[in-house]
Amino acid sequence: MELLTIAVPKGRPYGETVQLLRSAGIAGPELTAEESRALMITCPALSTRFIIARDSDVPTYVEHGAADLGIVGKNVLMESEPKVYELLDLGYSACRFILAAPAAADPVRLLDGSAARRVATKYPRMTEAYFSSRGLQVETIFLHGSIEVAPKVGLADMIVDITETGRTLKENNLAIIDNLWTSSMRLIANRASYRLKAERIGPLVQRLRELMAG
Amino acid sequence: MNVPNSRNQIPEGVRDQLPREAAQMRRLADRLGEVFGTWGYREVVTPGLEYLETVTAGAGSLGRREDLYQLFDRKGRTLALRPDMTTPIARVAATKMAGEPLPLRLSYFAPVYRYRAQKAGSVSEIWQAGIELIGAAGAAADGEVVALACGALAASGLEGFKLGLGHVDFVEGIFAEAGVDRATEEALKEALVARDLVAFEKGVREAGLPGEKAELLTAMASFQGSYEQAVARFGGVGESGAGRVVRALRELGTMLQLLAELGVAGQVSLDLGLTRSLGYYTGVVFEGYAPGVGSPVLGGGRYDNLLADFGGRLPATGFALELDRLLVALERQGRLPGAPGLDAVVECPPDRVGEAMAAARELRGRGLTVEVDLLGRTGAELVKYARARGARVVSLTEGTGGEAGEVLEARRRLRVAAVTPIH
Repeated sequence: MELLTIAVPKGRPYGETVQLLRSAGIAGPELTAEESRALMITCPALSTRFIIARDSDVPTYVEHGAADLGIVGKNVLMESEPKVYELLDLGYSACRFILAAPAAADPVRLLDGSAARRVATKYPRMTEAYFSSRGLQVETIFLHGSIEVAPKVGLADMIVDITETGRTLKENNLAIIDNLWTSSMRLIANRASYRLKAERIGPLVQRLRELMAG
Repeated sequence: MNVPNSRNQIPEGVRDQLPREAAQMRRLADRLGEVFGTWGYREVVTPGLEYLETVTAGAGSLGRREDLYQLFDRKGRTLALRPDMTTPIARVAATKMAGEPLPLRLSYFAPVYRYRAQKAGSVSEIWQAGIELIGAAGAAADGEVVALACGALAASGLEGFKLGLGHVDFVEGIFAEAGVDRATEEALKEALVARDLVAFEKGVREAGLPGEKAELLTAMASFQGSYEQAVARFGGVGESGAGRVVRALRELGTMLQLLAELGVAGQVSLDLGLTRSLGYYTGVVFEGYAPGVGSPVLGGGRYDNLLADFGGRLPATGFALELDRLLVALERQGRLPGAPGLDAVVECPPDRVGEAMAAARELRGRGLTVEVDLLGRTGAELVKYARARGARVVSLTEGTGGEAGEVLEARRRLRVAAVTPIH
């Protein structure tokens, strides 16, 4: 059987991803439930191979054909707009894109458009798209992480970030001003593999669909 | 020194082809041109600059005007760099070649220009080679074009490619059958072009269609399978869609039959949700995919209404190969043609230029690729240069003897004093 390569993200969604892949019969015991140090794991019996990558790199692997399929959050896809096919909403790791500011700040004044506000985010493209759709001009400050600290240290007036429960926001004394979009994990496919390996990808999508339905 | 920064740079989205790449592109284009030629397709060259009205013909083809490079001529008229080759060729076919016997079989090798958001690997100057078959409708014409597409990809040396085959009327018919409103249809088609099945299914759910109609749309979007499976699933559709779906399926069936007879059935599969971003397609559409390349290496289809925009009213079909992507695919498979090499460098002392050039001419006459060393180098210095070019040195002076086949023979004929083999 032709080898199928799947890119899966490290970090928080890893455990649930492995669980899903195993119950769908795509991954064997070689893909351990705990993240190991291995960056590439092969399951010879199932003719599958897994690339363990940073979530923001998953679309890159898939777009360029290093992986046939990938599992990645919609938030990552929205920011990078890779040329891949989005096949399935896997539902887990659900989170929201939110706009938040210090609880004490007046949201109306922050968004009155009278002065360019500074917004810290890991998602500059989505942030600009959101504000320009509201006709507001802001200065986007790109950070790799710890976005919620930015207002406290005077780096920004607001933040655009993703949140699952809103707890980190509360801990940092931030209040949600607006809910922008929702996100969850998606199954993506390389556009050539989708055709060239159709006889492997088709049944796999079907199995995942059935798993999620019941 | 205060050199302006941009002087040594080139704009985003374009690139230089250095000799090796230029040779690979040229060889690939020659190979494809040869195939097109043997099928009776004649090359045309159209200008890179067209009037804006020309390139935007075809009912909003390439709908996104912001993707165009626009400029003004001295009379203030708006010009555009052509964003595709099909429209200019339709213009030529409908105007300057209007009196010619039909069908017209035309081919091209040229760059087209579309502004692309700049990210890794996206180019705005896109080299294409392709064909247009104008004045012939029906399955035989569609079949010829798809078979030629397979032939061209095979001739390029590419292995393991696949063509996905769809039909505009099939998609339109399914939409008509499902009875979605205009705005929803636009949104769903956009999702279909990007093959964002999640957005497509979400759009279908939100449209609040009866279960059966919703099911029909999602089945179309994700269909992968044989013709028999397609007929089983969609063959009963379309009493209200005026039979468009069934007719489109029948056309695809006839074509698949023909392609099977031509022995290329294995390279073609049905892709019923296939929707191309260009707006002018009217019938069978197709895309070609190569292993490891995320974007199609080939795309085309039937466009029966485009020539009417130029006063032509002729059915037409054709395809374009994306040469940069094809070269990437070939390189991955280790199937890139090697650049033509240099056979020999003739030593050229300043006082014996005529002799050196005569020697070179003699060698070229025997089909070798030969340079004369204009920098007057000798000995190790010349050998070093020749080695860098993968060539041998032909020395006019007495020196160490060589034993290098053709070049050695040249020495005998030319009474060149010595030949220094490099390899």
